[in-house]
Amino acid sequence: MDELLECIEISKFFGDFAALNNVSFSVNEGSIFGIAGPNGAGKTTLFNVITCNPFPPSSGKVVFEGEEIQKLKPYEIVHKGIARTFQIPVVFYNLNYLKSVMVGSIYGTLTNLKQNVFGYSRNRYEKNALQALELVGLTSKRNDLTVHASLYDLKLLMIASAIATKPKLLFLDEPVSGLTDHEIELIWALILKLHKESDITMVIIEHIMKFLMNISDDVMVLNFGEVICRGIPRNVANDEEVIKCYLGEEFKDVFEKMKIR
Amino acid sequence: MKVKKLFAPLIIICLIMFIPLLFPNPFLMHLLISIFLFGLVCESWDLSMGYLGLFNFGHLAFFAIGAYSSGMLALYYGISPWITMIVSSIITFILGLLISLVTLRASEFAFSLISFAFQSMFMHWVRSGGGPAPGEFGMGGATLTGGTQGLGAKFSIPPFQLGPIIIRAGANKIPAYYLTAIIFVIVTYAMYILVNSRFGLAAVALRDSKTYAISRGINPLTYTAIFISISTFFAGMAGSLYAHLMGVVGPEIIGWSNVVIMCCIVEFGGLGTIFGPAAASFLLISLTYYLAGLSAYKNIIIALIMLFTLLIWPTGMAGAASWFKSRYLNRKIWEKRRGGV
Repeated sequence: MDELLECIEISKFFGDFAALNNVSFSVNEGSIFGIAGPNGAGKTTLFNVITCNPFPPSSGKVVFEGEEIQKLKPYEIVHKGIARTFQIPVVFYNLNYLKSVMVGSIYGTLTNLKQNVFGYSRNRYEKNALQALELVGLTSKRNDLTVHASLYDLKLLMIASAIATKPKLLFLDEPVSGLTDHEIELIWALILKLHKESDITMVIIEHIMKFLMNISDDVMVLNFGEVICRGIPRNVANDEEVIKCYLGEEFKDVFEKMKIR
Repeated sequence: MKVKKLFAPLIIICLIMFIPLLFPNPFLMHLLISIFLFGLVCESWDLSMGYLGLFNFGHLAFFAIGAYSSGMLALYYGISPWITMIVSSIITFILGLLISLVTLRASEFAFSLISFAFQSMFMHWVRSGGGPAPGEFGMGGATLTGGTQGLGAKFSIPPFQLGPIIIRAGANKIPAYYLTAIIFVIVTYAMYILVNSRFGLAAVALRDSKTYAISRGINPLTYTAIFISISTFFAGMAGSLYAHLMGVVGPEIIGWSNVVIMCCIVEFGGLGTIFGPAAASFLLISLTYYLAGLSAYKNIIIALIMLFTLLIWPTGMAGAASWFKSRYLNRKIWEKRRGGV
C-alpha cells in the first residue's frame, strides 16, 4: 500500500513549551489510523498543524500525495483533499442541516472565486450535500435549524460536511466521545461503511479504547508531544510503556474481555 | 406555496407605489425619500454588521464618498448624474475592497479601527475643503468640497434628468419619490438574493464559526472582502442619490450623531435580516423627523431605543416578527414540532 500522508519530524512550540516534539509517522492509503494518548499529549495539536487550522507546524514537513503541504493555507489544504472534524462540536447555528452541509459541498470543491462565479450549479451541490446527509442518516432533519441539534447530530453533521468536501483523507477528532453506547455503535458502523464504500483514508483520535483499538489498522500513542509506541492495536495495547503512561494496569484484564483483534 | 410567498412583498410594493397618489403631501414625500435613502444605507450596513459580524465604523464615510464624488463629477465636469452614480458606486466598491483586503489580513479589530480612522479622516478632509475648486467654480476662494457649508451651497449639484422631467427633492417631489422608491425596492431585492446565495452562505458560515468555515474550504479574506465591498457599493449608490436629489451635501451627513442613528436603526431592525433594518428605517427616521423640535434631547430617545434593543430584545424587530409568527400564526406547526420530538 502507498503512503498517503507522511509527517516528517513535526514540532510545534508555544513559547518554550513543545506541544509536539519531532513527531514522524505515515498513514497508508485506505487504512484507518488511530491516535491515542493522555490529555495534553498533543493529539489535537497534531491535527491542527497538519491541517494548518488554526496554526501551521513550527518545523517539519507534511507530505500529502508526494507534495509538501505545510506552507499552504488551511482552505487550500481542504481543496487538496484533507477534511477534519473538531473535538469540541462546532456548528453554524444560523443555518439548517442541509445548508451547513452545503457549505462543505460548495466550498470544499470550488477552489477559487472564478470557479465559484462561473462554475456553480445549485442542483449539483445540493445533491452532493443530500447524499452526504443520507449517508449519515440525517435526511429527515434537513430543514431543521442546527442550533437545536443534539451532540450526536452535531458529530454526524461535522462528518457529513467533511464528506461533502470529497476528501481523500479524513481526520476525526474524538468522533464518539460523550455519546451513549448505542450511539457509539451507530457511528462505528457509519465509519466502517464510509471506509468501505467511499474508500476514504481515516485518522481517528479517541479516548474510548474499545472503539479505537477495534476500528484501527494501526495505532500510535502520544505522550508529552512524543510518539511512545506505534504498531498494530494488539501490540500497542500490550506495550509496557503505554500501559504505564496511559492505559493503566487494570486495562490488562479489560483488554482480554474486549477481544482486540 | 410560491404564490403565497410573493403576496406580502407585492402588497408592500403596491403600497409604496400608490402612496403619492393617495397622500401627495410634500412633507410626507420628503420624509419617505429620506427613509428610502437612509434605509438603503442601513440595509447595506447590515450586510457587513449583521451578516459578517464585522463592525464597519466608516460605513457612512462610504455614503459620503458616494455623495461627494458623484456631486463633484457632475458639478465640476458636467457629467450626467446617471453616469456619476455608477462611477461613484464603483469608486466606493474599490475603496471598500482595498480597505478590507489590507486590514483583514491583520484582524477584524484592525478593520474596525482603520474604518473608524477612515471616517474621521474623510470628515476632516471634507471640512478642510480639500483645496480650491477647479475652473470657474474656484473663484472667490471656493473649495473643492465646499468646506463646512457643503458641496453645492453656491452652485447646486445638478439633478437627475429623464427627458423633460427634472428629478429633485424640490417643489415637485413625486419623480424623486418614485426614483428612490424603485431603487430602494430593486436594491433590497438584490440584497435579499445576495444573502440567500452561496456568498451569503459563506458570510454566515464565517460569522458563526470561522475555524469551521475555513476547514470546509472557505477563503475568509476573499469572501469577507467581497461582502464588505458590495455593502460599500450600495452605500455609495445611496450617497450619490442623496447628492443629486438634495442638491447639496454637507459634512453633517457623516457626523457621529448620524452614525449613531443609522447604527441604532440596524440594531433595532434586527442584525442579519435585511428586511429588519428596512422596516426599522421607516419607524426611526420618521421618529427623528417628528422629534426634530427636541434638538439634542432627540439623541437621548435614540440612545434609550438602542439600549432597550441591546439589553432586552437583541434580535430586534425581525426577531419580534418571527417570534410572533411562530407563536400565533403557525401555532399548529409550532406545537407539532414541539410535541413530535
